[in-house]
Amino acid sequence: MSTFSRRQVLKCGAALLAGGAAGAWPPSSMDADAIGFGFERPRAPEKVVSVKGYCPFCQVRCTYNARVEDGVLASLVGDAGNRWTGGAMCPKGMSMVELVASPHRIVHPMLRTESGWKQITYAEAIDLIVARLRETMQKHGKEAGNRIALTSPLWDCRESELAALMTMRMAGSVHLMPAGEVCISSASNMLGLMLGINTSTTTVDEILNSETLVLWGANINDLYPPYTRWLDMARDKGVKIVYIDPRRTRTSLWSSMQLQPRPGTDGVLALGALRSIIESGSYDADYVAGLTGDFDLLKEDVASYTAGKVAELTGLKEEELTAFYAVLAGSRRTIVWLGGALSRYTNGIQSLRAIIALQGIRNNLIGSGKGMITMEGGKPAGEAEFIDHVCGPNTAPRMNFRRLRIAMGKGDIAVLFLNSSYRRYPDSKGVLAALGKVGFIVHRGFFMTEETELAHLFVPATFSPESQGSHYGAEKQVVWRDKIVDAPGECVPDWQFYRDIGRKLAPDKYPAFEKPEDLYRLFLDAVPSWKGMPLEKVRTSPDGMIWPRYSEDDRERTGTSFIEGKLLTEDGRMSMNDQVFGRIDWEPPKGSPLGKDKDPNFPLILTQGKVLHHWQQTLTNFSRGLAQFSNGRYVNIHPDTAARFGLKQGDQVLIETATGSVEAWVDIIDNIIPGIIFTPSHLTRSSPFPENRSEHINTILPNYWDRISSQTNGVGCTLKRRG
Amino acid sequence: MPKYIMLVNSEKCMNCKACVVACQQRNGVPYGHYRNWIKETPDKASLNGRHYQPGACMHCDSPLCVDACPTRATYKAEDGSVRIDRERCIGCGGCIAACPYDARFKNPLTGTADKCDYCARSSASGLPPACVLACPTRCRTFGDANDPNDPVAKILAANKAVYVKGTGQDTRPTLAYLNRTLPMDWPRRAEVPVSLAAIGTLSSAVKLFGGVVLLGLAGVFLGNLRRPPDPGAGHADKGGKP
Repeated sequence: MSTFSRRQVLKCGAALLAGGAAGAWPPSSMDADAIGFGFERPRAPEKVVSVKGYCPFCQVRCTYNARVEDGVLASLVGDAGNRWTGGAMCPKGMSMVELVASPHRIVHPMLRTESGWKQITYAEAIDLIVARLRETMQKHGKEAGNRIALTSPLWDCRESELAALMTMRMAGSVHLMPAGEVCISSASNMLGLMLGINTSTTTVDEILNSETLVLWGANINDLYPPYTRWLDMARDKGVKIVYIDPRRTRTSLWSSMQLQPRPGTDGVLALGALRSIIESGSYDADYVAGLTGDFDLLKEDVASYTAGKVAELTGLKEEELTAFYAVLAGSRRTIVWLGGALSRYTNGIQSLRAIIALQGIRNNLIGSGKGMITMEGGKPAGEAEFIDHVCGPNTAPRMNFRRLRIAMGKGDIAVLFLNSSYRRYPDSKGVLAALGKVGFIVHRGFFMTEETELAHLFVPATFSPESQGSHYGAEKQVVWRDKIVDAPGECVPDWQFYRDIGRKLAPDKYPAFEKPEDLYRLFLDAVPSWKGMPLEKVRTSPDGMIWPRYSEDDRERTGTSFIEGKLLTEDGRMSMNDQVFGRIDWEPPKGSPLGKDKDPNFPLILTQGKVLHHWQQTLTNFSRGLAQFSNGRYVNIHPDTAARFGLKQGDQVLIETATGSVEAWVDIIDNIIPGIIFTPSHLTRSSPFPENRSEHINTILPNYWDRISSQTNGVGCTLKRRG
Repeated sequence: MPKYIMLVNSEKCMNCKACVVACQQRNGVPYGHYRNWIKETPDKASLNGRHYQPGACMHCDSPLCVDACPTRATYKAEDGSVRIDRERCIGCGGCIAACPYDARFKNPLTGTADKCDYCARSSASGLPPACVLACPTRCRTFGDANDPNDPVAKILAANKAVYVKGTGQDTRPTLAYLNRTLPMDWPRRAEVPVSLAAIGTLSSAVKLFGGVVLLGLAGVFLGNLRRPPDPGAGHADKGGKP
């Protein structure tokens, strides 16, 4: 028998009264509402303004129209006129709406004192920094430049990067660490070395003209969701999509074939494919003779990579390999999309060289429907040209992060502008110790993070909608963002921050620009390849203008970058026997359970990477909208691995490597191959949301370097149940 | 008169959540509450072992939520959408309980029922619903089914419409999936609370009774105008004599 609570009775009574009233007096507003779709008068804002902008995060560079309701940034609506995105956006980009208004933001400069943080004014902060820089310059004279460094990125726009570069040069320093040093430099350098262009050699629309698209470690759908539309269109057009990834992911949904090799064995797969193609004669001998003088060496280098050996090393079945080789040999137009994952192993350089060689031997580099794509570049040239134009030519070598870390550890760095997260670097505990010896750390940021904890001075930055400026995307398109809302407190954009320092350091030399528009125009005047991209046109276009453009009459350049029909290397040919990197070969990643230096205590292969709802180490971890979908530090393992380690779904474990451990919970899925683990890269201890909170993964990753940069994946680890 | 509907090709959904966040932001829905969703189901036919099914209010043609609303704040509009008049909603929760799709929630900011309204607030400026626009693979299409030139009419003509329906109940959902979707059996059996259903009837009775009373009063008034009462009769009626 049902009973009624007092609350239900009261509710029912209220409902009865209201119901009677509603029945007796039909609403005057309902009729109008019922007829037409789309009006809710009581909540309609008084003033709605739409302002153009772009997402500051990944290289897709989605453009949007920001909807500002009564002065408040309410939502971002993807610009449907953008040919690259079709108006799509991902949750990461949309989080900017929330970040701008975050209650966790620090909006005033703070100086660390013996008694703790002290709020100071922006003017005082600038004076302090200038005094420190002058002191360093006076004390060290010509050597001062090697005592001053800056880690990028600068989040808001290209003009900010130019302003910072000029300021550093005024202080005598050239040490601006690119943000991508860890994650993209292997691919970028190898493309540059072998093809003469250090980024994509074609635009993404060209995949529609290909017969085969190989997503080599490129998890497009998880990392760059708006670009899924290109996979969708390609699939509809009949393009065969081959996806190579040890995990089945959202990208698998669009693929027609997936290979799941062991992490770090991509080079073996490429060398095996080369052997198969050469052995079967699936190449044009005349073309190859024109492409490279090292073909005989290459034949020797690939000879031992039989299907049996490749199967043994990669863990793939021979029939899978045969099918893959047949696709490559039969495809007349193939594009390879290089994933960032390839650059994350200490053997990544060799893997990338083998893949690029494979494209070359199959004559898949030059022409429509051919080439290499990477989401990790696209930067138009001209920056160095402009800085040299303003500051005079530079001959001093730039530090990479390894050298900076050593210098910091020796106490040789007097002033460091810490813009990016130190947590991006492997062995971050070692990096932290080195940072502890820096004389003065200025941190430009937004929240109380691990970097703020280190800083001597914190100067709050603006989020991108709070200032205007240009940026570029993967297709080398330059876009413009207008200022959308005012910044709170004393948050200032980077272009203003570095300009104010630079103008005080060198008032006669540092350009007296008032706003990014002025700097953009100065840049156009100095750099010929930009002259055809006037601000007004870039500003009004839904997807900007594609660089280069020497005059406004120039034809827009999409498609292959090799417009003269040859590679852009010095001699137009491809070297496979490099002075620095030698011949193309393969060995397991350093510290891998597959290698000779394996440690039986760490039998699982560790992989870590970006996930759908994270963009790097800081910003998106402060979004509640994204925390909705986050699950904290999980570790994906195959059911066989779980059985081997006696683990159940949801078990709390320690992921342990030779250098440390982090806590995680076990998520058992069959989308990952046995013997490996996957855990997200970008959780952070300082997130206000438990769903995003964890000690960062680089605390347990060793300081392993290839010849270019520090790399993180493929090392051995184990899982230990807690409690 | 247009009839607005939503079509969803769930085979093209990858569960990127862009539609969910875009909806929350466009409509001021607090995070942690949802006007739309994506259901994830194991699927051996899928290349990553999952099928993703985007969903939202089905804008039913026989909506139980409308029957459950004691104040008639929830109503079926002539354009096909099921709408909520927030000024009339008392937040009793009857409609939330009555929806077999759990498409409704109580908005903590407004204290009223909330759900998909095809982004009504911003549609005046010509914007399609946020979920439609944000989707990278265009798995949602929104439009007028009564307009033969509208994309939804064309898509419907070229595909099989699949409707997710509750067990034993057909609320006649208008949100259609194209050709195949998973899962199909998730709507719960929902009942309109007896008390709230009674209120609707009672409300009509009150309305009818009020009308009859008003009619009677009007008749008396008119009758009195035509034939004023005899003052003496009153006394007689009372049985007294002067």
